[in-house]
Amino acid sequence: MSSGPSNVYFGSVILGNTARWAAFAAKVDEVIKKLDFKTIDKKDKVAIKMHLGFNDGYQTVPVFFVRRIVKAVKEAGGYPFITDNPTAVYNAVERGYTQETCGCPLIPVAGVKDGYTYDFDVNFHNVDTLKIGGVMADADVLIDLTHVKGHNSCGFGGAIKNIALGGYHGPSRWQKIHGVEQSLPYWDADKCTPEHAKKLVESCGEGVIKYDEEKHKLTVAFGMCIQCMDCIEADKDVGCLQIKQENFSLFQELMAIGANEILKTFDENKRFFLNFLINITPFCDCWGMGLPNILNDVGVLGSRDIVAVEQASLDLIGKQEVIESMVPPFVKLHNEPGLHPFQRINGPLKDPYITVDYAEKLGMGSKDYKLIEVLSPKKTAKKKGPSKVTEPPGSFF
Amino acid sequence: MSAGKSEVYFGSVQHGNRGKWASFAAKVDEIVKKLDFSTIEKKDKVAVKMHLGFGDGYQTVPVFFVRRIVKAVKEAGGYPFVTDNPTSVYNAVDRGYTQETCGCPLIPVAGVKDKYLRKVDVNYRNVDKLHMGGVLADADVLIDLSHVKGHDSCGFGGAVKNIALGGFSKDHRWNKIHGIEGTIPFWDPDKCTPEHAKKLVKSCKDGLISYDEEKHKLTVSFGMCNQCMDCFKTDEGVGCLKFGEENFRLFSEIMAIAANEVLKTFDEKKRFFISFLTQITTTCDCWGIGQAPIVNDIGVLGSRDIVAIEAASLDLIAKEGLLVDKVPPMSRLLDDKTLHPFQRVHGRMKDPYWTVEYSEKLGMGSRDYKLIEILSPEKTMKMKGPKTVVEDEPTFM
Repeated sequence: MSSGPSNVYFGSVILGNTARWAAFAAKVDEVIKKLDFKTIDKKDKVAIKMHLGFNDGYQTVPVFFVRRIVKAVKEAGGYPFITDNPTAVYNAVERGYTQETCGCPLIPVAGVKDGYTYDFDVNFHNVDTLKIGGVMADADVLIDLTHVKGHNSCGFGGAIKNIALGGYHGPSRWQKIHGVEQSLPYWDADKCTPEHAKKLVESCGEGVIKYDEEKHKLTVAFGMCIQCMDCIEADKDVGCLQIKQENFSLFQELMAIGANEILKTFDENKRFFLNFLINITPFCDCWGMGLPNILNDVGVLGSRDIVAVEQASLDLIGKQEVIESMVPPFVKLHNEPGLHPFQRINGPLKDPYITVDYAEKLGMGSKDYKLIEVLSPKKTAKKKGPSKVTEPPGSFF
Repeated sequence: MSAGKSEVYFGSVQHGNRGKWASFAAKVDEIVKKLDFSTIEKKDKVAVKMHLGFGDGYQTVPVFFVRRIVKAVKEAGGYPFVTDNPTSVYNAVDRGYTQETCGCPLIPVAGVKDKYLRKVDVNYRNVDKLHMGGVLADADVLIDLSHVKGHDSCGFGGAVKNIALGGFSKDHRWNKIHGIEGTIPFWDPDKCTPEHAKKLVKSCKDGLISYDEEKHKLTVSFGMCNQCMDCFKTDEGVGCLKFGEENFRLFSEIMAIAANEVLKTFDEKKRFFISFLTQITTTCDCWGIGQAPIVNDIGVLGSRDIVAIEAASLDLIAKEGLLVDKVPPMSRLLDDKTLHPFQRVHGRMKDPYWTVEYSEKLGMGSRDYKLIEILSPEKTMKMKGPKTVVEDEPTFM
């Protein structure tokens, strides 16, 4: 990375002017322009990695913006394609993503059966290797196109998570990356009787603690744990259970490692990051359902530095308050002062900045960024707007 | 309309359970079920009238829901098609609407050149006839699928506006319907000198007053006027300018009349209304720009009574209240919190209830409604949820 703060371009959903050139779509175009696709070479294969959604969810990045990004890549001479896991690609039409609407093909990240992958050595706790999607590894250019929202495992899902989870084949994603939280001991089998273990299972309002009596083995699914600490209360006199930061941090750290390996397959001049901070839901699109927006729409961010774009996204979101009326009733909102909105939803030990800090430590980019707002409402409010905004009679004619 | 309260089914974006069956898409399906498409006959031509968007706007009803509604129509034996004005149909692909994604053809409401029309007698003020889209008039069944949002001419756009403006030819939409406000005299040319007229033009910060000196004719664009009354102050002492509620009511009234004419072409059992209260922006999708939502997402409403669904939509929006800091800086926000949120952004003389009241007077339906919430968070949170919510292995395999 070059010295000095990294540039992060920002377009707000707030408009200062009724003109099309001051509106959100124009800002998306402007952010793309600032990102400068000139470093894409002719015939470069350009992977636009995005989450195409799952099941009954609909809050992914609108195809309306995808096709504009695709168009810009084509104008730069690149050969764009959209990529995601095979299930999401196969069902993309449900959310309006097709070759016709996107303007380019949609290609599963590791073949139709997740069989096309490359191994890389991780050696992080209990994870030896991970399998990168072969299509992703083959591409020349990465456009990491992300819908930023909350996430139950790590506080938030952004540009890092989009490639760190989305860039790998199914079993790597679900077993290895999501399984890393178990690799640091948190339960003392010798101190715990089967009766006490069952009490601990019952103490968890979220049903996150399980106990296998035959094997005398207790597990906590940290991904869904909201750190209410009811289990620790139930364990007070025995002291066999620990809910500590380390277990939660592991997922975020491995996420940064996974993303870094993907970045390494691309030349530094050929990595672009676009974060959409709209439809900010408490949990990930992988839940496969529409979720209420718990924060107001913010806008779009673009950068060539993945750490900077993530830091800026979290900072902008952190400036806002959670809209409490929009928080689903099954979420127990944390009210301690100083928490990030995503910590209030997913718990204080799921600090979304952990992955960003770790990504910086790995040399993936810099948290020191300069936010450059394009077409800011303040500026465009001073410019003359059009006298008419609606469709002039029948513009198709 | 039958006696007793009209039923309006409501599905909130808020959900009480992690189950797919409790989330927003399931609610949309449930509302479609409650609306009961069994009154659609085999081979009925079913017009799904919606706004397919314009220019740089992207906040129309997601194709994700359109294709589910289309599917339900097919299952009922109907032949659905999506319809809107020719420009929007031609550019629908920009927002992801195609035959493949919607599941049915997209057909312009009055042919490709707005020439296939049915004349209906209106005889309201200076409007004798209106030209209705022939395709809409030909259809057997109407599904009035609306995105509810604010509107600068009449406070809000909902189910009435979707067919009242969207169901007619461009000339009549833009000239006759939008020209109605000036038909009650608002300016006395004898009292006004050219010099004074020019002063009045200058007094309007929004540039809505224009003056033709040759013809000695002054015009006010009521559609964009938010009644700051600066022009009246300038006119003090001369008193040539005079307009008020009666001028602004005209647009709301002719809108109801036009919608009524569209409804009359359908059997009472073959009219369905579905309104999406999501992405509630300040002004209409016809502005062709993305806008920050100014009210939190609320959900989806379904009814067989157009008046009831409109009243319920406005009541729910009033209850939700305005996101004051999301109101664009070019809007002149009114502080009076007793006003409806749409009046606070468009002025008190753009009362969104006027068109609803007038529709009731015309016998189009009843404002007396019963809101029936389906899959309410309170109920579903008491039901057992699924253990895992995410895709735990590639379901496409």
